[in-house]
Amino acid sequence: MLRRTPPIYVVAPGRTYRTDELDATHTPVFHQVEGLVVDRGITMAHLRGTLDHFAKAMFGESARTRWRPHYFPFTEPSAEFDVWFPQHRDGPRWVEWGGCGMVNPRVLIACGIDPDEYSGFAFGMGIERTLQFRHEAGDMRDMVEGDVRFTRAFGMEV
Amino acid sequence: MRVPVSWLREYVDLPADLDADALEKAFVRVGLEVEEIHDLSSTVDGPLLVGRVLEIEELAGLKKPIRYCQVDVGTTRGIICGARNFAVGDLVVVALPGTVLPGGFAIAARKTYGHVSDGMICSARELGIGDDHSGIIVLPPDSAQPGDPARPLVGLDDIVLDVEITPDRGYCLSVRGIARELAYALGVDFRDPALALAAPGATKEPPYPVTVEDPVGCDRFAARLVRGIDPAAPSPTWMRRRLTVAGIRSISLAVDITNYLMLELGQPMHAFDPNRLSGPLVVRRARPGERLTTLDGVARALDPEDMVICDGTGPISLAAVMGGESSEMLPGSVDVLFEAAHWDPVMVSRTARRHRLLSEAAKRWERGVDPQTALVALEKAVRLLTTHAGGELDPRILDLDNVVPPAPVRVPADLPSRVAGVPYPPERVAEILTAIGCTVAGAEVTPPSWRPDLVQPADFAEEVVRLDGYDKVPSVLPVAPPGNGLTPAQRRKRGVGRALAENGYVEVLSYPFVNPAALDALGIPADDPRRTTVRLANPLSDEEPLLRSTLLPPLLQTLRRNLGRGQRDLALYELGSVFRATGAPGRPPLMGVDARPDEADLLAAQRFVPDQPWHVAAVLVGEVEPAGWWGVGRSAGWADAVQAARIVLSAAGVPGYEVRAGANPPWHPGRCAQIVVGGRIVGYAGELHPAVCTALELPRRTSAMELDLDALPLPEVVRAPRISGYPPALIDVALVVDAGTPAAQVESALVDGAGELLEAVRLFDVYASDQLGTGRRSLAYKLTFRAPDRTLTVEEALAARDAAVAVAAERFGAMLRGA
Repeated sequence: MLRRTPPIYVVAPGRTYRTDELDATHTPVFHQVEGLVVDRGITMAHLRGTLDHFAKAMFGESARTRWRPHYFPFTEPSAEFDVWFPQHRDGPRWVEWGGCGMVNPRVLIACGIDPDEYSGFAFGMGIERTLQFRHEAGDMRDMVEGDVRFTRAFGMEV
Repeated sequence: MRVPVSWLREYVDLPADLDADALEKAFVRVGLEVEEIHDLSSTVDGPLLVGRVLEIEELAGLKKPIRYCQVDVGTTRGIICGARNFAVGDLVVVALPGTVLPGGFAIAARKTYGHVSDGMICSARELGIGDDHSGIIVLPPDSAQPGDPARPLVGLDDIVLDVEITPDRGYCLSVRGIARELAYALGVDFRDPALALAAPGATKEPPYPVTVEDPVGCDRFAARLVRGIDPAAPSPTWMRRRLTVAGIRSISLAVDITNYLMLELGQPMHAFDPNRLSGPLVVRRARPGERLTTLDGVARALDPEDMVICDGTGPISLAAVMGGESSEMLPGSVDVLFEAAHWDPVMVSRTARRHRLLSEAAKRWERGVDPQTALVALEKAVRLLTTHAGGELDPRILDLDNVVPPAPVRVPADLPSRVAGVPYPPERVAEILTAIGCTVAGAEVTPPSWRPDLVQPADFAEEVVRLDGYDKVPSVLPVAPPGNGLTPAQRRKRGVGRALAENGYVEVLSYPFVNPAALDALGIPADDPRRTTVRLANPLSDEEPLLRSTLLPPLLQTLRRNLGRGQRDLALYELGSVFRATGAPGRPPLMGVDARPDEADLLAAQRFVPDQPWHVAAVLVGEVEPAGWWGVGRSAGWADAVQAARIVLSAAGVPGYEVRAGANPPWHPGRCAQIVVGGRIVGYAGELHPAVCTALELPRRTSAMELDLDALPLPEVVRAPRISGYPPALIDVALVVDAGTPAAQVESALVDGAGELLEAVRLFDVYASDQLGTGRRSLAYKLTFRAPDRTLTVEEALAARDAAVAVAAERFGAMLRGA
């Protein structure tokens, strides 16, 4: 946003870091697909439409989603976006896929974009989580350790 | 925050049949995450009844006092008990045989101390509802009949919720706030405990003299005094139970009251023993060099930003975070000075972190506490204290109030609709904002005192969307303008990865953290650029504080892990960034957030960002071609690593590069190639040095390559070649050179010398013999000459050959064999 002027429609996968211990469902180094849209007339409905579309592309037409109010400093309103995970080992349940929200007007101001003219949304969906839902990968450690038996199973899928 | 549903029910009209699942759904709707739901009725399994003690027989001659009791639980049972805090006629809690207590402790009728004990009289700890194991639970007289179910009397019919509170909702770190949100979610009535009783205001004279010197750090300081309480009066059971559920230890009645009200109202408080204070209290910033021993026994050096409460001896309390030892309530304290103040959230946040004291109080202050609850909290505190411990309430009330009331914010009525894409009628917007406590006057909206998070118009819009329901926001796919697709650099990364995978390499993604010793193991010298590492301020592991400056250490670790798991033939690759410290002096500029930072500041800040070139690396071990019925296999070696580099360069569209003999740790000199593009070394390939293999416990001849992808120029637009339809002239040359002369350089010389007529050159034979002389060898090249516009004559082709050989002769002393 510092280098470009609206309209901005960006999707960027990348590495993210957290102070989590490595276990079956967490890894301190993981990946997110970050999305950012800044344009005239962008609403939460557009955010939800984009994420629903993304969820269907990843998990099939029958994918079920929900979102819950949440807090992030750089978005307002903010939400966490859940995907229904029927194959969860502890029984079917909603599992958090990532965070999202409408770009906080202060962030637009800090980038020199007029929040009265433009609005935007942003999201960050976990790629490892996506892999878990899509391929029923039970243990996140398998994605981290680089065991060729795990990776080879996916062939050349990209 | 852990809160029992029974407490919430005091302030919100929950449906009687509300179960845990419905509760969780309600919380999710308003954005409170329920981490855990503990149904206490399921923690004790089996019959738990009220019993009346009918007879007590003290058993003599045992090492410890033991009682054999007759207890009426509807029928009379004999029960052995080791506690002594009860008498005949008391009501107690009896677990009958068949009951399973927390921890899987099963009660059975069994013979002990010469009697059959037909059940157990329970303590709070045995039931998992408290820490108290000093005696059994004695129920208030006449609270029940023998044989009644005991669960409701000890809170074992309750549901405890562990609610995760986001940092913006400080007011939800209280029963008051959670009950409020639950009322919104269920559409039921809420009674605000902060308005439940009238709290009197300041009197002319204070009960204790206090001066606030810094009204920015402390914009409210209120206090009340009770004298002559019974210091031995215990906290009531219900209060202790609620504290225990919240994870707070019961200490003494006065202290328990402050914690109880913090949980209920969200107002942290403090109880001083006024007899341990010397002189008036002063609230101010700490002075350099001042020290304070806090309640946890730690002597702390104070910072001039910390707020402190002082008496004549100096600081006695680290304000808003933790009290001091010198003024805390003692077991014999008979007078209590309750303090309820309001502190600057930013100050508390920084003080708490500086002293690593993220206390329950600090957690609430930094998220924002309602500045209008101080007097209510004090009123409740003195009522609770005098009810349970007697004493005389000092009628004087201190309230130094410098609170600035929240300013109105302009919230256009259509803003929530513009944010959500849902048409909210203006009256719906006003209804929701009023429900959450705002004062709405047209577009001017004033937030309530407990919502310091409502500052900008978007904050109010979020409240409207949240309470109307996020699930009512429709799903509309926006139409994005046509994009540019991937950048050339992105396409290159994908192409390189795909090419390696198609050639049998398996991709891995390693953590980028390394131990300094990893570079030693690779034999990387001290002055090598790969030693210019970035060190993390807060590494996940102290073992690995550096960011990788080469992909090899983590990649080789992954290789070893695979070998350890029984793999023998492996070819791995990794694409990722490496990190090189910039060593920029000073600090980056502080940039404001009120506008776009100016270009100079952005560039100055960028200088502190480490260089993060994108690298690709590959490692191989074992056989690249397997043995089988067709014959022997072929082991991976340095040539395969060089080939991996060629695959990358080809996929990256690098038209011209040179592979030269190189020397660079961790590669084995003599089996190491350097890759040169446009005169610049972009990477190395070859076999790892045997010492490196030993140090890393890898098989000998493990091979590796690493290239800097960012150093490869992006391909230029290709000029179409002119294809000649005329026949080629093929001439072979065999050149005798020193054995140490690289064939690739001889080839370059031939190309340089042959001129435009040369179409292709290929090395097809290498030959050494005594006839050539020691240390000499013959390199045989096939030269293809062709002209675009004519058939070459023999003379023309030979002249071009001679010119080529002449340059090779000039550079390397090459002799035409047989000439």
